[in-house]
Amino acid sequence: MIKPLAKSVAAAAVIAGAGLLSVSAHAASASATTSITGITTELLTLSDDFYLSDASTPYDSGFDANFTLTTYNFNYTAPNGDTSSASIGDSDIETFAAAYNNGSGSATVQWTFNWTATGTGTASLDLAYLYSVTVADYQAGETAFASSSLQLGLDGTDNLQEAFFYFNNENGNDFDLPDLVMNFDVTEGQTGSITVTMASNAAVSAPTVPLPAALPLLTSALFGLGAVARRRRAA
Amino acid sequence: MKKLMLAAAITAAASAHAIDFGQKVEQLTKAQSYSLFGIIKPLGESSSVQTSAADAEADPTKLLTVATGLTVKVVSAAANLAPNVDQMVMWPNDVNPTHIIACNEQGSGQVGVQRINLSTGAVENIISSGLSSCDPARLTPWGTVIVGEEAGTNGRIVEILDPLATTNVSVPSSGYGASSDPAHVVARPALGQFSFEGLGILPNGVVYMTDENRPGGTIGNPGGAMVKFIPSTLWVPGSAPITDLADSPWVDGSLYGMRVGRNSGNKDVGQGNEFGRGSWVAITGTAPINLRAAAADLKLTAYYRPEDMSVDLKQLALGKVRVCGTNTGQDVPDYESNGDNHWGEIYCVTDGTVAEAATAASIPEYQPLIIGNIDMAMPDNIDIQPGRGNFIIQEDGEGPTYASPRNNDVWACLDDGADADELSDGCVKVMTLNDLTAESTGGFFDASGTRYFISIQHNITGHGVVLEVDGWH
Repeated sequence: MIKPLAKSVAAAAVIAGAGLLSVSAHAASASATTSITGITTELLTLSDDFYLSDASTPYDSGFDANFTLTTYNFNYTAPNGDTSSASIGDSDIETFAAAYNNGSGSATVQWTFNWTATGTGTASLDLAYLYSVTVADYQAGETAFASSSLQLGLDGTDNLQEAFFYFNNENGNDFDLPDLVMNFDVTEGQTGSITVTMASNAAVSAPTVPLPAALPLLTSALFGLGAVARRRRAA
Repeated sequence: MKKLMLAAAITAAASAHAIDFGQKVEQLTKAQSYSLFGIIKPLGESSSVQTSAADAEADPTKLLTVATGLTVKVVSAAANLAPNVDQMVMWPNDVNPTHIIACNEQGSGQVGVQRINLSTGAVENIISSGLSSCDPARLTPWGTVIVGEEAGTNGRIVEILDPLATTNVSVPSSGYGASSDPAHVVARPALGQFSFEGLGILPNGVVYMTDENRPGGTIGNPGGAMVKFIPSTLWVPGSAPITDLADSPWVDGSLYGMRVGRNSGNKDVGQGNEFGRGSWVAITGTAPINLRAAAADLKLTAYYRPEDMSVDLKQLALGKVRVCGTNTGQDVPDYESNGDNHWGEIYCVTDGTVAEAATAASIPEYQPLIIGNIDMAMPDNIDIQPGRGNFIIQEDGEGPTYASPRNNDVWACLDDGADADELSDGCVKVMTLNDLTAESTGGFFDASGTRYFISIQHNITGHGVVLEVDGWH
């Protein structure tokens, strides 16, 4: 038989325990986009595209190597709102990744094409691209990361141009439409290949909610309240 | 005006051009660094920066540049931290450690083993004299600390009980006479003598050891061999730690050397057969056995300066034995007359199940995992990252003379995957030293695989520096 004093103690414990266990509505988000918006060349013609595409979240993954870009669109949202996204699109050659609360996404495209020099001199390739990286609602104790990377390389040489943008464990929002430019000497009729490697990555993990010291008190209080309720029904 | 021109139509692909498929793989590996290695972006060139002594003293983290996403903090840069700290181990365990126990790779007149308080960075001496080139340090399953001397044919294995309560012990500079505290520090003649550096201890007390030796002196001398010690009484995993050194499984046991080559009734041995399956050959004699002489007599398979070794915990969890280590090689640049361009390699040896490995009948198999190159050369220390299972490899130093690519880097390498070969699926550079006179040593992870500890050996400050690298996802 539970005494009235015990019932009031149990009720107080529920209130205290509920306060300690209350979960914040806050959740961080991260997203990244990398896409090619255009190419201009001097002294070069381009041909023979080949694509390697690789997209993954903790729930889906896809990989292909082909003469046309294989697209993916993975997006999973759990009942509690945890979201993981990764996609590869071909309207522009685009990679996208996003995560919310607890999740991750990764999308990579490696695009290779051949070039032929149409004259003798310094050839150039101007790769116009878009990048966007965002981390929002980050709080200490979480992990939140978003990155956009782009590499433009003249195959068989160490001529490599790179761009990398990221936010790691801090809020931030960065967006631009810059260019990567590569110059190299050619003689008319010379051939070669160029590889563009682009990747978008995003990951968020919320901190583990620590088990408060009051939990045993809370659970015993809940048990006590349940017993009280059962006796009332019996009565 | 800029024209917009996206992917051109496919034309007949018949032109000759420089396709470098390996470069594409490297670029892909770097682009996926977060998912593969838990870092945001790997490093490019090796550092050619020389931090001044004053700057390093003011901020020891300046000695190391790390990959984007990783962070560095000082564990200890105490004035009395020995300058040549090499391998280290956590105490009392790697889950909730309070101290690091560290070997100092100097002569017998200098301190041999120290303990570092992880909370304060304070340093105290455990073995203050007598050890020569203390290099490997390990925690045993029975709760003691093992250290070894990288001292040619005079190297010893020494066991320490209760390292937090053992202070300023002196050991004889050679031989197996008693230390000044024989209840807490004792040398182990049963394990023989050579230049100890790589040690892989199994939960039952079986240990794999390699001799840090290279072919040299007389033409035809072998390099360093691998030896296995099987205790006469195996340790039962989960038993309570010992409280008396007389109860150590390493008081007595048997030694066996690895000889690769099983063809023709195990006679296909010798130079030219270094990879593949082999057998364990009994090494007999009165303890302490000169293991280097025994290796030559028994024609054990030898390698170029085997150094550190790490046990594959994922395989161990499956009840299997796989130990992986480094063969350092020698890569003095080839414009020097003695330049070998021998970049070194990482190898793995499997030896059946844990139970099979406790017998002489197990079949070892040696396979290379990573072949060095001009950028990743002279691998020295190695640790397999708990959780991810990646290999973190520290290059040996080469002094301040040589230009980039230099051997002052730390690499993260994937294990072999499901592809057809048995080689690592890729590596990236994750750290580089900003002190051209130093080398990084003794790198190891805690049990979580997210805290990495590293010594900056013989650095510009003149005293030891141990750093912690965090931020691994």
